[in-house]
This record gives sequence, C-alpha cells and structure tokens, in this order.
Amino acid sequence: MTAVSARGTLARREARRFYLFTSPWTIGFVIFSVGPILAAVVLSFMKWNLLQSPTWVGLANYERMFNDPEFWESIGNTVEYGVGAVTLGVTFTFLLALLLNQPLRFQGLFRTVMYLPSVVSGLATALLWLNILHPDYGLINKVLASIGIQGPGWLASQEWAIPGLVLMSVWGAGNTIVIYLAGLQGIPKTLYEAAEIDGAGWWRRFWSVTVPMMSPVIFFNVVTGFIAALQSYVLILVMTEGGPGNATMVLGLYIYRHAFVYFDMGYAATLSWAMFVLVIAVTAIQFSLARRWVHYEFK
Amino acid sequence: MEMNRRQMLALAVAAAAMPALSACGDSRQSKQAAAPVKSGAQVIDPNRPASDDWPFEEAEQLNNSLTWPKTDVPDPASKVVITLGFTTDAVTEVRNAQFDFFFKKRHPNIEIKRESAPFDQFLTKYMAQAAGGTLPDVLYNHYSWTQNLIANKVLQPLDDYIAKTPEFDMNDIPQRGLGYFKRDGALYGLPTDMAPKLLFYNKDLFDKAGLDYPDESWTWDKLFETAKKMTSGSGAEKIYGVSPMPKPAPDLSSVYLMPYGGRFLDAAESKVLITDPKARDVMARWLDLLLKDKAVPSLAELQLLEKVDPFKSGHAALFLNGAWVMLELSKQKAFKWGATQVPKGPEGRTTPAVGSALVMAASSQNKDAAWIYMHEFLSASGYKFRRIAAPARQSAWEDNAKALGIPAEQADLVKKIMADYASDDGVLRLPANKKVVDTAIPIWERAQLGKIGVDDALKEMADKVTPVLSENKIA
Amino acid sequence: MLVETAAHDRAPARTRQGPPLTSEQADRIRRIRRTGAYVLLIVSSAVFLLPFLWMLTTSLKSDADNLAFPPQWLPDSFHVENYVKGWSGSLPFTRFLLNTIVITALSMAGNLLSCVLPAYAFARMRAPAAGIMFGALMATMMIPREITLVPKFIMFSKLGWVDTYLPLIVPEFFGVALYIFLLRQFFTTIPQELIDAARIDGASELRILWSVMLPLARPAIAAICLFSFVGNWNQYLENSIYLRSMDKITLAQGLGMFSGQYVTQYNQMMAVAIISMMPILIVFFLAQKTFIRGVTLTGIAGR
Repeated sequence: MTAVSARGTLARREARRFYLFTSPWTIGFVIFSVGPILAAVVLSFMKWNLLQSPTWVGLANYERMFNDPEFWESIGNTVEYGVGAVTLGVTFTFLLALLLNQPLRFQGLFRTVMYLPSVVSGLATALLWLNILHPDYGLINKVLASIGIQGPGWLASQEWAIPGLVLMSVWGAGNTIVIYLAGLQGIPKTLYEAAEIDGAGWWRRFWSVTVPMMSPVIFFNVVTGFIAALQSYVLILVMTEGGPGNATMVLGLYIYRHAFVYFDMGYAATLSWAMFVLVIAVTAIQFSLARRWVHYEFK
Repeated sequence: MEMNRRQMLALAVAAAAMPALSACGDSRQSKQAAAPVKSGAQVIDPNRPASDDWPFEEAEQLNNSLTWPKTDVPDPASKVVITLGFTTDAVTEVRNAQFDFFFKKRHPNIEIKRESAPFDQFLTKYMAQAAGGTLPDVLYNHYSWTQNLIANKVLQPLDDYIAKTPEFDMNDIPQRGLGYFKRDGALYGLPTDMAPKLLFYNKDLFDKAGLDYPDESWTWDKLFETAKKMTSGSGAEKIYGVSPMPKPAPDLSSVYLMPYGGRFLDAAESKVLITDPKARDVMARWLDLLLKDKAVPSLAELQLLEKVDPFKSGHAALFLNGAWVMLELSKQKAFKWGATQVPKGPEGRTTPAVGSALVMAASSQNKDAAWIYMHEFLSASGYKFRRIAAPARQSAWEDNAKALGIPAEQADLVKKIMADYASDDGVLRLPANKKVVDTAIPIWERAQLGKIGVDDALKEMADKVTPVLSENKIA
Repeated sequence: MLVETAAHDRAPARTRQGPPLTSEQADRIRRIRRTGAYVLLIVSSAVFLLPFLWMLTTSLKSDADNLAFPPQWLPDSFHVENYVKGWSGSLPFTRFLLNTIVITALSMAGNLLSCVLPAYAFARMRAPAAGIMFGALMATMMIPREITLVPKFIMFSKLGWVDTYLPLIVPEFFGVALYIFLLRQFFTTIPQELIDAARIDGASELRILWSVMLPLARPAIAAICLFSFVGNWNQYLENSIYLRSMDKITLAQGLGMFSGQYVTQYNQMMAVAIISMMPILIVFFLAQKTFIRGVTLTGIAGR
C-alpha cells in the first residue's frame, strides 16, 4: 500500500516535471499555433477570398475535393515523389555520411562540399538541374549517349519528370547527412571493440552495432524526410510549375496554387487537411514499424 | 567535460546575437561576436538617393528640367503619411526613391513610406495585407489582378480625381488599353506602362538565308512559311523558325487567334470558343509547326525558364513578344535585330495592349495626398523622370527611347501601333483568368508532347475550362 | 568497412588483437581502404560542387553570356565587378545583411533555449499526457504552413506586429517541433545507466540534463544550430509577408529583387547569393567540427 502510493507520488512528481520541462513548447503551441490551426479547420468549411468576409459552405469544399480528379492525380504524384525521394535519399546519404565520418584528411572540406547543395540559392539549383536534365544537351543524357543509351526526356516528359525531381532531391540532402554525422558520434567505440574481440567482420559490425545504434537517427530521418518530401513544392514550382501536363503537380503545389494564386482559402484549407491526413498516415505507419527495428535506450 | 559544460552555459545564456552563433562551433572563435547592428548601412540615403546607374546630379538636373503638372486637389494642410506598395527590382528601386525625394520637396506636407516587394511575391504579400486590413494607400497592380480587386470593392474609383485635375491628359493614354481597370463606367487604375506585342526578327539569320526581313505586309501564312524555311540544325546548332510556341495564356486570342476570327474565350469571358474551327485551325497549325516541322521550341526548350528565350541568344529567327523586350535586346551585341508589326490575318491585324497600373485603396485615409502622388508619378514628366521603357503616356515615348538606347524607328513603330489598333480586346482579365490558364495549359502541354491530338485537346480544354468561368460572374 | 576504419584509426594499438594478420597485411588493407575512400569522396565531391561552380561562373558572366544557348559553363570574359555592382550598385545589401544577422541570431538563440528542455522531457520522462503531447508536437510539423500563414498574419497584424521583427523572432522562443524531435531522438540514445548513476549520486533532473545529456548530445545541438541558422537566414515567404519597409528586409528578399517582371539579372543575383551564403558555410564548418569530438568523450565509454 505504502509502496504503491510512494510510486504514485514519484510518478506524479515526474509528470509535474514533464509538464514543466515541456512548457516552453506547450505555451508557444497554445499562443501561436492553436488559433491558426483552429482557423484552418473552420476555413475548410468556408469560402474565403481574403478580400471579403468568409461565408459558411458546409461540406462543399470536401465534396469538391473528393470529386476533383486533379487532387487525386496530385496525391499519386506526391506519393511517388515522396517514396522515391525518401528511399533514395535516406540510404544514399547514410552511405555518404559513413564515408564522411572517416578520419581522413580534408574531412571538414569534404563535408562542407557535400553540404553545399543545401545552401546554394534555389534559383541556381533550378537552373543547374534544368540544364543537367535537358533531354538534348543535358549532362546526364550526354553521359548516357556516350555508352549508347538514348536518355529519357526527363522534365519534358510526363513519365520521367518525377524521377528527375527525385534525383535532384537526393543531391540536396545535406541536412540528412548532418544528422547522420551527428548520430555517428554517439556510438560508443567500445561496442566496436567488443564486437571485434568476438571476431565480427565489418559487415557484422555494421549490422549489429552501427545500424541498431543509429536506428533512432535513421528513424528520425525517415519520418522527417517523408514529412518534408510530401509537403515539398518550392523547387517544383520553379522548375516545372506542375507540368508537363500535371505530371509533377504535387499536393503541396496544388495547395500553394489555391492559397496564393487563386486565393481560394477555403479549398486550400480543405486540401491542407487532406495533406495532413496523408502525412499522418505515413508517419503512423513509420511509428508502428519502428517498434520492430528502432532501438531506444529508454522506453 | 569541463570545457563542454562551460560551452553549454555560454549557449544557454546567449540570448542575443552572435555568441549563440559561435557556441555551436568552437568556443575559441566566439570572440569575433557582436557585429554592429544599428550603425552605418543606411538604406538608400534619404538626403541624396543615388546609385551608379542613377547618379544624383543627373536626377536633380532632369527633375529641374521637367515641368510638374498641377491639380485642383489641395495639398494637405498638415503632415500626412502615404504608404506605397510597389514592385521593385534592383534596377528601378533607386530611381523611384529619387522620384520620392523630389516629390517631397514639392509637397512638404506629404511624407512617403515606400514598400517594395519583388514581382513574384507581390500579390501574395498584399492579399495578406488586405486580409489583415493594412493595405497601402497606393498599390501596384498587374493588369490581370485589378478586376478581382474591383469586384471585391477594395479599390477607389479615380474619376472624380481625374475630373479635378484638368492637366491630367487622359488622351495621352491609349484608351483601348484601359479595359482592365474599368468596371461599370468607373476607372480604378491608371497604367504605369503599356505596350503591344511585336514581331522581332534576327537580321543576321535572315541575311544568311538570303530572305527579306519581315515587314508590315506580312501575313500569318507568310510567317508560317518563313518559319519552316528558317529552321535548321540540331542540338547546339539548332535554329528555330519562330519562338515561342503559343499557349493558352491570357493574350492567346489577341496575338494568335483573332487575326483569323477565332477566340479562346468570348469577350465576356463566360464561354470557351477555342473548339470553333477558326480558332482550332490556328492551334492545329502551330502544333504541326512544332511536331512535324520542329520549327518552334519544344517544351524542353521553354522550360529553361521563359525569360531565356532561344531568340535572345540568336537561336530563333522570329520572335513574338512585348515591346518591353526591346530594352534587353538593345543591350546585347551578339546579333542585329529588327522589329515590325505582328502579321495580318484574314480578319486583319490584332495585338494586345497590356500593362500594369497604380490603384488607390478604398481604405486609404489620405486619398487626396495619394492622388497628388499618383498624378505626378503618372504624368508625362513622371514617366520621363523614371525613364521606363514602355510608358503608357505616349508623349514620353521618344524621350525615354532616346535615353535608353532604343532606336527611334522602333519607338515610332510602337507609338503607331498603340494609336492604330493595339487593344485590350480578347485579353483575359476577369477574376478566374489565372485558373483558366492553369487549367488549359497542362492539356495543351500533353498536345505538345504528342500524347493527345489537337481536337481532343481543345475539347478537353473547353470541358474543363467552362465550369471555371462561373467565377467570372460578378454580382 | 567504412565504419570500422573509424574505430581502427583512433585506437590502432588496442584493436589489433583479432585475426592473425601480419602488420604488413593490415597496413596494406588499411591503405587500400583509405585510397578507396578518397576516390569515392573526390568523385562525389565533384558532383556536389557542381551547383556552386555553376553559381560561381554565372556570377562572373557578362549580361550577354547569361543568355547563351545552350548555356555555357565558362564565361567568355570574367566580370568580377558583378560582385561590387550587385552588392552596392543599387540596393543596400549591407543593411539587408545586418537585418538578417539580427533576425537569425535572435531566432537561433530562441530555438536553442526553448528546444532542449522539452526534448529532454519527451525523451526521458513519463506523464499521462506525454503521448498526446508528443502527437501534437509531431502534428504541428504535418500541417502545411501555407494554410496557417494567413491566420497567423492576421493574428500578428491585430497585435500591431507587422513590419517589425517580432512575428519572425518571438515564436522562435517557444520551441520548434522539428528540433525538439531531433534532440529527443538523440537523448534517447544516451545509455540509461549514465542517468541512473547520476540519480543515485543525488543529481537533479536539470543537473542530469546539464552534465550528462547535453555534453553527449553536442553534435545534435550543433546540428540544430546549423539548421536554425540556415532556416532563418534563407527565410523568404514569412519575411516577405511580415516585413514591408526597405530598411527592414533581409538578404533573401533582396536577392529576389534581382528578378524583375521581365528581366532577371542572373549574374548579379548569383554574385550576391554567393556572398550571402558565406556565413552559412562558416557556421557549417564550425558545426561539423563537433562531429568528431563525440567519439573521444570519456563519459560514453562508461557503458
């Protein structure tokens, strides 16, 4: 009885501390986020062009969305882009981070170079990739041609536009590399030593030490990578404006158009909640799969 | 451990500026902190706005040489502040600041607060301001935005002010280009610039081919025929006969279809007419020119950002574009170019007169002062002072062309076109215009890729654009 | 292979007790691996350098070369004056730089101060509402910001905060979901034994956070510094909506002004863009240095 109540007191104290520690975020959430989020909920049931008072339209926006072929098309494009960008990005950058973690000379320089694409101006990135992916004289197709392969039309073709954008996204994933690099520092050296004493080769050590120890970080990159990829549209807006023929019309771009080109805030809000559901569904899948492979020190 | 903890302390207390920045790196580097924040680095010197391109002395001299027109609207008796929301680019900002500087000298009671936003962010920014109830007094407007703002009662009609200003010569402005800014007989915007589309040509390429330069006798048939002849090469050597490929843009009817009696939408923008044979045949001819003759830049080419058209780099013989590109063409030395009127069709010659405007917010608290500013900014003297390339006031054309290095014959040509036939007729402007274009373009792109025939494409366009047009009905 | 060398090179003497390799063999293997790593790094660096080189050559081109078709990599002549013209030719970029520094530094300080405590709590404490609150935290990342932008703008304009830095800075002092989540992930990797040991010694939670967690999460803190810096430095949409006067705007907005309605001055734009990304590269270079220290921390070996 006393043991139970003592544990209860302890738990209550821990909970109090939890609320205290999280309060900076909680307060900010209540002050700065709750209002706008509620507004976005209400807006999805309204018609509002920013210039006149909003009017209530009930479920009309939702009805419109479910019957909007372009919306469904954009969901397909978004998922295609998201899955491509995250799978390729997360694995490729992990390998790159392992390489950049080597105690080699000019390590800092190499890391800076790999990070460069993430900070160069968006317009420069767009111009450069429009050139690299150009069907006739772009770098990629020239290389392909030199080994006898006729390259695809990339951004000028409906089938290859998204793969082209995926390629581009991988190359600008400097932040993912940074997070991996930060994560790699947390793996205790002793684990490798112990594994080596047990006679584990590099492959075994990679799978039994590096991957499990890095799993929370890999998980972070997968989850936030999906959130970012499913929402991304800025470079797509500059490069293809959703074309050719809506092939790269992703949901983020579709929302942007309704919000800031047509100023159809009600429908934009409705589309945003669709985006929210999509992202949350993907994230929920991630979290439920995480139990099988992510290794936490504290559960 | 000790050092790390100290760094963490530094990090936590770093509530301001650079210390926080250096804490994430090496603590030894943190000394260079705290850069001067408030010192120096004026914006544009308010007492002497100038830049390399716009020296102060030149501005002062020009300002003094111009006569500034009067209005019966009285200057405010005590100090008022008007806010201006203009699009700005690096080139025009200083000149506009100079205009404000001399304006304030003429009107000591009018204080000016200028706001600037790049064109691509402008509408988003000011629609948000409108929603927040903080619109500036005077606002830049692209011709495709104004009708939406009028319909929502955001703008102030200007007719009373114009009536109170006898010196504001409306006849100096092409009347046929004001439709974007009018509704129910009232005028809500006054153009800042206005220009027609012209047919540009690369003289070097024509000389090489031994063909005569285009002139005003040309018909569209002649253009199609010549474009095929002028097409040659491939890859880096490719020369296109004509650029760019038409697309369902706001001025599609006026540039391409109306010479043949066709239209994209009807004049009231309430019906799609592009499937009518007259319009359909023009679209089909261009599609053939692209897919069969390869005489027009493909989608891949145009994706290299529209602003870098093959013509500008000497890779297209003919070029249909606004008179405003003359400024850019005059600056390049790579090839010789000329310009003439757009070709004639069976139904005559048409070209859009398009431009932007200044509007006054209905919410403005200082409308008189705002008008005094607009009036001078948009007077012939104002245009001459700002040296813009395509002034809506025709009396400013010659001076400005001379100052900007645009050949006199081109300036005359533009003036003649503006006087004779350039018009807003057929140019989309009602609230749904952007949605119409965004709906039609993907379909046209599939046609350009050869995925869909011209008739299917135009029918799909009509089917999908028609429902959008209901948004053009204004109560 | 790659990870392994990391451990090897740091402590060659102690780890050389596995399979019976002669020292020449081991050396040769190590040399081959090193060379392989260098080759890989150099090849991929070349690819990753492309955009920067593109910016660099564009920034040095004449106006005419910018229009070349097909685009040319090397300019016909080098126009270093684009840098001077772009920076101080017409727009007051020095002013924009100072504005950007103020916003970025304050926002970054706010992010750091407000993300550590929540992250620690989410990683290591139990509370009945913890799950729901973590869900809410994650959810804030998933709502497209396009749709909360206007309601937020209206809220801040009612407060009279338009054309001030407050809407850009104040919210930064109340935690950023992405950074809290990132830091939480790092805090969860820290061995529980270390915390238990500190608790037995009677350390308070703040003490544990301060002397156990933070030193071990240093690389993650550096990453957050970097992301916060870059994010605020390049912030465009929010800045351009909240900041109105010319003397308040930031570098990213100023860069946008090279793009006119009809003509874009790519060369000057890229010149100024290169100048304005230099601080980011400096911050990155400093931050990445912490990505080697973690390994040598003594605390971690206590496991």
